[in-house]
Amino acid sequence: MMDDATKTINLLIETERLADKILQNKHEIVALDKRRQHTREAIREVEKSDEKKAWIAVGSMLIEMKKEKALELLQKDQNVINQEINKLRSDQKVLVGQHRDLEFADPLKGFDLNPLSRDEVGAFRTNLPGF
Amino acid sequence: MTDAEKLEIRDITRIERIGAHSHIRGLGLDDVLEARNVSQGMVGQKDARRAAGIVVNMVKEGKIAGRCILLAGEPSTGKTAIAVGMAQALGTESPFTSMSGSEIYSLEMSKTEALAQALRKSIGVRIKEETEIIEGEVVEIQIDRPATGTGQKIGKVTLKTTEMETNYDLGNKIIECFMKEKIQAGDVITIDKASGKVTKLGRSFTRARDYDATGAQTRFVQCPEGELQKRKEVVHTVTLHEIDVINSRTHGFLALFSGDTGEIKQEVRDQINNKVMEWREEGKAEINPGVLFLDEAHMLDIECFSYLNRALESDMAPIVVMATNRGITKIRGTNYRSPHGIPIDLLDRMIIIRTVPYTEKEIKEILKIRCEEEDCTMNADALTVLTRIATETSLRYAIQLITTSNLVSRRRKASEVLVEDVKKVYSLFLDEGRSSRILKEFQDEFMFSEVLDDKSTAMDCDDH
Repeated sequence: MMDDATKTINLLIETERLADKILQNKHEIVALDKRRQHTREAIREVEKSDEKKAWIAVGSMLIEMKKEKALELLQKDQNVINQEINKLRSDQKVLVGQHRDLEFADPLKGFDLNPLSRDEVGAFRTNLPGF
Repeated sequence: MTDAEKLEIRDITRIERIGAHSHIRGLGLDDVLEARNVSQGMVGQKDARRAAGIVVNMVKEGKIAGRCILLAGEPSTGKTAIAVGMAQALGTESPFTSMSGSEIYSLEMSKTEALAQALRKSIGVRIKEETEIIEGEVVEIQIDRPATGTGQKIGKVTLKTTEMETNYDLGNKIIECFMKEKIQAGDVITIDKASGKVTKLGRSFTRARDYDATGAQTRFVQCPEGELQKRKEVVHTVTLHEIDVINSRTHGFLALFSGDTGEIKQEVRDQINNKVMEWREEGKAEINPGVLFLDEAHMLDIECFSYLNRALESDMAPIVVMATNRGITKIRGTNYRSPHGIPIDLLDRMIIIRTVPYTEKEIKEILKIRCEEEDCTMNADALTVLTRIATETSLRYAIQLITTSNLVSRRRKASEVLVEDVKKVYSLFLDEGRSSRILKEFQDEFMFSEVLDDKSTAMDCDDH
């Protein structure tokens, strides 16, 4: 009897822990996307400006550096953010799978497939009603 | 003119037709596949339902394909009901095709073509579509046109979600899209990153009070949540048959609407098979074998059986469920007798699920469910009488009496069906037993009674 109770509680704890983790990841993706958009805006601004040098904030310090160098730094940042978001998104799938497993729900099928190319999707879309 | 004035418009109340198995919502099994006595419109038949449940689970997990299952049992023992229950239990994810054995005899299509299409309708292909979209509410949009009217346009748009807000510089091409869609501040839009296609989802709720007068077609939506740049993944299940049809050049996709697909060339099918195999190897597609239900399987002939035999061996084959109410009878198209009218070699590949006749209690339960389904309140005594009729004649006849007696009772403006209503329709409509008794009694008075004797042996494929 005692065993059953602890088992149930452990199951609930695990489910909640996973659910929490999923939500946390979701927030993290949103925060990262925010940064991605800001970096993108920054890249645009630096590109557009006529000055040779640009002011860049590193932490709490403002640093003046060459335009090319600044762009390179920003682009590097952008790449890291993109990678991070992609990683979180693929993690999310695994976590949701585990969560569904704990809740005795059937796993979501087909989301681990590679996507069809754009032409292929286009072909289906124009030919199949309701696709 | 006067004729036009005389025209009157009447509202038509839609009458939903009630099918014989419309009350079935599933197989009525619990978590461990044990059949509940009365559940989801299913009554009794516990072993058969349990067996069907196991099959459904295996299909769902994609464990079996190219198998054949035979539902065998006397008439009106719930074979079709179990098949309908299986279809419901499978859900929308796995394709389920239902056809009757006699449907394959059509002049427009050969028998094997009809079977091939039915088989391919029952195999789903799971594919994924992935798009990167920018989704947000337009806060501000600014498009600068050069004074000359032609030339490069430049623009800026500010998009927001509940979490963030950002500016985008717009290029010439995308400005065209924005103008074509007539995007203005307050619209909720998506931009497809790959193609640059702009779609208007509607207007934001927060702007709902901007104007007193808005068109009826204005749709109000919530401001999107979360990140601006989203990845949208959609998983589709299409059947092989659908891919066949859109690729058979002579007909095109319009055939999907009309259902008149005609014959599809084997080359087209081979091409599709190769393409799907290629996708599968690239990890782009998954085969999702469904279920093909063939009712009245004894109506198939020897050619169909041998075709099925061969088709089941292909690596893209669905699970075929057949139902028959025949005992040992002639295989159609031959002079050989075989159990269920199905060749032994095909029978050998089958798992046979047997349905048994219902007990009196179960019949009562089914009649009760049917009464509910047909919105008919029946007196307890009347139900007992009807159950008695069902045990003595047939369940189908009794179910038909529900509808008719309900009509009779409504005629005399009663709220429920009484014994007298049932008695009345019982005398008005004959069951099969009484009808044949009358025929035997008065045979001499009917036309052509003299040739009946030599005709009776000529009927093929009928052992009643």
